[in-house]
Amino acid sequence: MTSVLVVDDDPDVCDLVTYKLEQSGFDVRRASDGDAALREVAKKVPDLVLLDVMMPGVSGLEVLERWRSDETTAGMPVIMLTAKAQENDVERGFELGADDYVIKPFSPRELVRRVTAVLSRRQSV
Amino acid sequence: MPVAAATVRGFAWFCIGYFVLLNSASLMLLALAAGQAVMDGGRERFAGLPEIFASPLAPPISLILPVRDMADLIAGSTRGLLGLRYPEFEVIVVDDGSTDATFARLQAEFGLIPVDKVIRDELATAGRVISVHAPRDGSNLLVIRKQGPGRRADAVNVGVNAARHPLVCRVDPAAYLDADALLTVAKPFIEDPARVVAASAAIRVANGSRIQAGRVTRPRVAGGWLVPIQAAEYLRSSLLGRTGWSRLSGMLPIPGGFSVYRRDVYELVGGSSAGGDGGDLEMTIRIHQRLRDERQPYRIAFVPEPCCWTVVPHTYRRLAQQRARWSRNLAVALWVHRAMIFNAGYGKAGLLVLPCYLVFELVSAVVELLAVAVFAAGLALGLIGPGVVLLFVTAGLGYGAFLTLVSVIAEELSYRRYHSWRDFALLVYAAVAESAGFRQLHAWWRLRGLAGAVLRRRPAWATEPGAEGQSGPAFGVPASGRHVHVR
Amino acid sequence: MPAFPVAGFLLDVTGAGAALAVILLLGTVAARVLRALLSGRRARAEQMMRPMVLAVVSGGTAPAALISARGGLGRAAERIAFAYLAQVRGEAAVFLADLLARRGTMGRLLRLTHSPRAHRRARAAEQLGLIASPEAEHRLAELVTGDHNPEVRIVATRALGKTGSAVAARTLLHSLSRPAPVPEGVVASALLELGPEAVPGLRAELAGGRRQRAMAANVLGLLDELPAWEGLVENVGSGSVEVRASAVRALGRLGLPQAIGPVTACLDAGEDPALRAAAAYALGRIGDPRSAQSLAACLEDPHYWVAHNAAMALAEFGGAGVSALSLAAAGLGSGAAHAKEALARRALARGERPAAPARAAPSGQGQ
Repeated sequence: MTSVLVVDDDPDVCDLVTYKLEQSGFDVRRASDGDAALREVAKKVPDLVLLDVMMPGVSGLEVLERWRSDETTAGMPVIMLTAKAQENDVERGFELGADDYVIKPFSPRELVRRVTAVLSRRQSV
Repeated sequence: MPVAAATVRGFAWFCIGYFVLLNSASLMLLALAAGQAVMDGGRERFAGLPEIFASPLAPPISLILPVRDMADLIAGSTRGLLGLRYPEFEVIVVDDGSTDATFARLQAEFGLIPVDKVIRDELATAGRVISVHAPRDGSNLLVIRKQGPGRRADAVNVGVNAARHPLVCRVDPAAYLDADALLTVAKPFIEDPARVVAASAAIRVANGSRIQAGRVTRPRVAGGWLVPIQAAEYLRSSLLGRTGWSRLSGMLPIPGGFSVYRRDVYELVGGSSAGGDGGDLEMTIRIHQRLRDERQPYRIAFVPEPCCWTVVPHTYRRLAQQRARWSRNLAVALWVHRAMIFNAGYGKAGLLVLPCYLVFELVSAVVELLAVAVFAAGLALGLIGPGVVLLFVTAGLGYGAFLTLVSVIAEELSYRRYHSWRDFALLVYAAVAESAGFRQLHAWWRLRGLAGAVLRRRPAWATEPGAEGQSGPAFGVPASGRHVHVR
Repeated sequence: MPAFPVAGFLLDVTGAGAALAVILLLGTVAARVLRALLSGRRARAEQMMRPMVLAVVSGGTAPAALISARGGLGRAAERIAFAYLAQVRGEAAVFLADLLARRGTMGRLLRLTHSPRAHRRARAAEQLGLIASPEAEHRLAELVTGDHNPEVRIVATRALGKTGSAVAARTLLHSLSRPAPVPEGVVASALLELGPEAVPGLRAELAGGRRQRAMAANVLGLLDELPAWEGLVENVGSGSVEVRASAVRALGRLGLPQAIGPVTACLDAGEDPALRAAAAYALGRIGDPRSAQSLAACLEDPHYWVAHNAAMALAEFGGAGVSALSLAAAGLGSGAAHAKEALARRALARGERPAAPARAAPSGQGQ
């Protein structure tokens, strides 16, 4: 089963995303902040990460930067979760190597579509 | 002797009457505010903060952090500021002649390199800017090295001169801001951009709280005597600050609070003043005066949601210095703006708020000590009956404790930031302990500050980082007398 | 002694005060205990209802237990549903709104908007906004214009912004014309959220009274409403500084080269410095290198923001702009300092190392 890590400090968002992904057949792990995310990835590298950009403490972008500078996680697919009108964050995320982004409020169905799209893109490469 | 006896008794009754009056006035305001706070307990839900975060209408903010010799704290502080949730903002750290590794730490932490920057001279400042630095990765940080040591006000003014954005906020290095603090305090500016010129938010005491990555994650009240009392004090001040005062739009913020100003108005009134600790109190009075003179409709908002936590002194010496300084600043501010007091031309600020500050804040220091002296002497000399003394204790001190208790209960029933029973118990204890000795000590410190202001004495202390080294008013004069349209 | 009756009275009062203090304290302690108990119960109720609500969000049919749940379970279900509604859009939002409709929430909320307690009215308005149903619009509009509590009016305005209808847009714009029941900024945010529905009204507003024109221009720019550019250009030429500057900035956001002419006209030395600064900024956003020359001429301007914005704008242009800046940077005078700053910022943004500053700290200019 493909494993996905969901990183968001809002438990409601985590609930929604986790449920939808599990329903679609993914194996989902959760992390509620940057440090927890780093720990989870260190334990086992997931097949894809859904990463909230704005989190208290270590921000999503910082976490992404750390992953990209580490060999084991440099190629890990990452989709950013961001609020509306955060162009700067989105730009920065792409600069750091994110694969796609989803704006909150989001459509769970579309999110799953994006996840599968990114995964299949990666596989065909 | 009968004359002396009558005088002593007269004073005794005056003191009792004064305190009954003072406390009753406070009670009225507190009760109103407490009532609203409790009803609004769930109000945070209406705050609409996620919308503000996503809103392109949120006005960009320049955060200014004046520092001197803070090598240990500076990296964490700055990181904490950079991590705040807000659509667009910049952080400007002004290193005011640090003699230690403050700049070196910043340079290492953020990869600073020197850059060109044109800094306006809108606000008069003392001391030259030596260099300006920015991080190599292009994040929104600017570090200005300035010739010092100057007064903190100069450092703040340099920061404002370098600021890019329409709103400015001076941040205290000893303060921890919640991640959503900027969103919270920017709300009044978004809702009423035409009139709001300044907004301040309630602050709480950080001592004893659990802090992670520069944020207060679990508020707690530190043990001891001084800290819980200050925690209760801050609860009372911020409660007084809401509803009661802010409706009067004559709100004067708590010293050391967290305030955001419109940059053009800040510049219009001449920026931070040296005599005011780069401070908010005198700045607010000046804004009232200037904008009234200009006949521009304006509003100073107060945001009651706690979003800023400050580290308060926990030793007698530091606390004494701080309170003396505040008292001195208040005295100086009131003196400089004495034309406003009881002047109907300045509306409620002049007729109500300033006189109240004069009578109840400044004068109360004198009366508190007078009361102690009079009652002690009177009791010892047998001029005053124990009944009268008892009356003073209950009507003066007990009443005061009751007020603080109301504030603690209001917090408990509304924001509920303190979760544990221990914290609640400590605050209740503090409410009582405050009147049993702290108030009198506090009055003594304030009296010293007042005396210092009157005698224009330069304080021998100034060891608190960033504290201004000189006393005496030397207010910034605007570089140009330009008129600003306050819409 | 005449003082004694007074003393007696005061002692009675203080005695009562002490009793009151004790009662309040005990009451608070009781409230705390009660709250702890209730929150435990809430958490358990939510745990039970959450999986069912999640199933509905993902497209499953709502179980009868979910629809008919009342009391604590019902409240928990609705709390969760509203929390999720705030996070989702599209199909999932429709499912949730449908669930709430089947539970009869709409009716209950509409009734609550008549509650004597402002807190309840506001909460009901907020939740009506989340459901975003046209039925609620009429009532929300009434709250915006008629409720006597300012907080309720603000929440209702925001809620209208979420409904996404033309009716809501009309109400919001009308609310500006009287002595405004709601601060302008809140209306602007709501109009922004409404998006396309608000556009016709906003474009009509551009021809209206002074205050609304500035706000309308601002929102149209933020909505990226390209067809509105002609209306904006009309407002660039005349009116108060605030209106003209808002129109200019909006044109900058739209980024249309057709607007360069009128915007450049605002750079004229005779115009208000605030307007000129806005024009410089807008030309930078439009990003057409043809403006480089007029902007380069502004680098030496004595007004800080005009020169600063002109320099930053040139940095956005790439080739033509950068050469103009480099030329200015090599010279003497105030323009050089601004040019150097802009070049440094540009380098940092591109991940390059900026040129080292000259030894002497750059000094500012007036204004």
